[in-house]
Amino acid sequence: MTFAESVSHGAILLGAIIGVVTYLTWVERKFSGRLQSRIGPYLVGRPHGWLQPIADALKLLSKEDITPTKTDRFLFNLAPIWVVVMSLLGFAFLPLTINWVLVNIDLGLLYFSAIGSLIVIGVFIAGWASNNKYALLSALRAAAQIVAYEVPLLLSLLVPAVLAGSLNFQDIILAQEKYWFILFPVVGQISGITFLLAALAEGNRIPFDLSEAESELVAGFNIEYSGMKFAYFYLGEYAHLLAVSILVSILFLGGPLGPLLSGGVWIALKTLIVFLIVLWIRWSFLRLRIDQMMMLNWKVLVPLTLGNLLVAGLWVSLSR
Amino acid sequence: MKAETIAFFILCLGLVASSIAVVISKHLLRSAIFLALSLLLTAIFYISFGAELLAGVQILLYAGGVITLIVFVILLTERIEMKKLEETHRGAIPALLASSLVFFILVYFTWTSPKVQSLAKSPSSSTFGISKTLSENLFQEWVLPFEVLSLLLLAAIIGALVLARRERKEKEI
Repeated sequence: MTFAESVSHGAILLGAIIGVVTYLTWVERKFSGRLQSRIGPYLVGRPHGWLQPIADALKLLSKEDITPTKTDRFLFNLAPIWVVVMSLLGFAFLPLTINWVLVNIDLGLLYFSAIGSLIVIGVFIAGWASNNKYALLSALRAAAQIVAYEVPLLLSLLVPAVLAGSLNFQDIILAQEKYWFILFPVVGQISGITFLLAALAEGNRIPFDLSEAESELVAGFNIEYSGMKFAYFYLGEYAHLLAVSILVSILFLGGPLGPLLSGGVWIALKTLIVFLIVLWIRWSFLRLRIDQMMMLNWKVLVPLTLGNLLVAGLWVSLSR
Repeated sequence: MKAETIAFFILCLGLVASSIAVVISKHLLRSAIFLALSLLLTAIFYISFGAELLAGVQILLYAGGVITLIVFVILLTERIEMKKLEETHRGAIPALLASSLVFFILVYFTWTSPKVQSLAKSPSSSTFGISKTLSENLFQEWVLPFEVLSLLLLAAIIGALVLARRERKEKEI
């Protein structure tokens, strides 16, 4: 690809992601509604309120942009941009069909997780620059949580890489031609489940959404934000969630592989299923306490993923 | 001018600007953020030179890990009032002289060194900077030093744990 080509491809991908993320909020609201025997958004655009996300976006765009007086203006404005940029950057390394990937490098997995770990800096900046005690507490919680859950996240990510013998996403997909890694006895299931848990914790989703805990911290690090800046955090969170869903479908569910339909359709289907599972978890479990969360991480997930990785490595080296 | 060249110069400008901002900004947290930015831009430099693994590790460890720790420490120690650092630029001129001297020495010796010039004539081979080459070197040729280093790090972690634990006991008494 030439320079101009890659820039234009990137722009198309960016537009597509933002469009998909906008409609994921609609999917979430409809699905959550159904789980609770509600209808969800209905009035804006019949049938089933399909214009609701566009109405929301227009409302957020036209809202007054407020910057509280006692904030650190520069950092306050930087934080939403940082979160959005880092969330969207990860998509560059994710293959959306077997052959189509924006940046095809040997270390796709490493790069993806490296960029994912940068999002938390934006959360920090937001919490600190807001000059609000709730925001600061939330930022501290987010920090402790993400630093801790990074460990099992990376350890469980490494299992598919070890099984495939590569950090390249395309190699990992092609290694799943016979069977998906989630079907790999014991090792596959453990790493799949621990990865989903750690990713939920990193993305601040229920049951790990301690940094947003609305009943104690009001709204967490984004409490002082309104209008488009708030929408940026929302966009970043959902983009990250989408990226994680795509990642699960690539690493554990065979990604674009599947009979009859083309690769893009398969990966979209699998991603949607993973996304719906995340929502299902959201409405089925309660929020953990911070000490419970830390105990789950250091006493359960870290030893489990470490042992799991060891077993996967042993299996690969013995069966060679 | 080619688009790549323009992008390269924008990158250079960004790196220099963010590095200067690290030194002159008055807030500790702002300095940390600019440091993160300059580390990220350095990683992009590595990518443009074909050292993909180095760039990935740079982002993961420095921009991700080290900056997160720095910011965490600042958040834990600094008060919420956002104190401004009182910077007194004493000795700015000697510092400028010393740093420009170091700069010229570095540039002069890299420019004239025969090794660098032979590298410039034949740019990186296809196996350079690839994870496979690195892992072969690391886990076959240099596996003993690698393991010794990991033992050292493990000892350091355990030592840190022991120190932290003893401190807490003293507080309780």
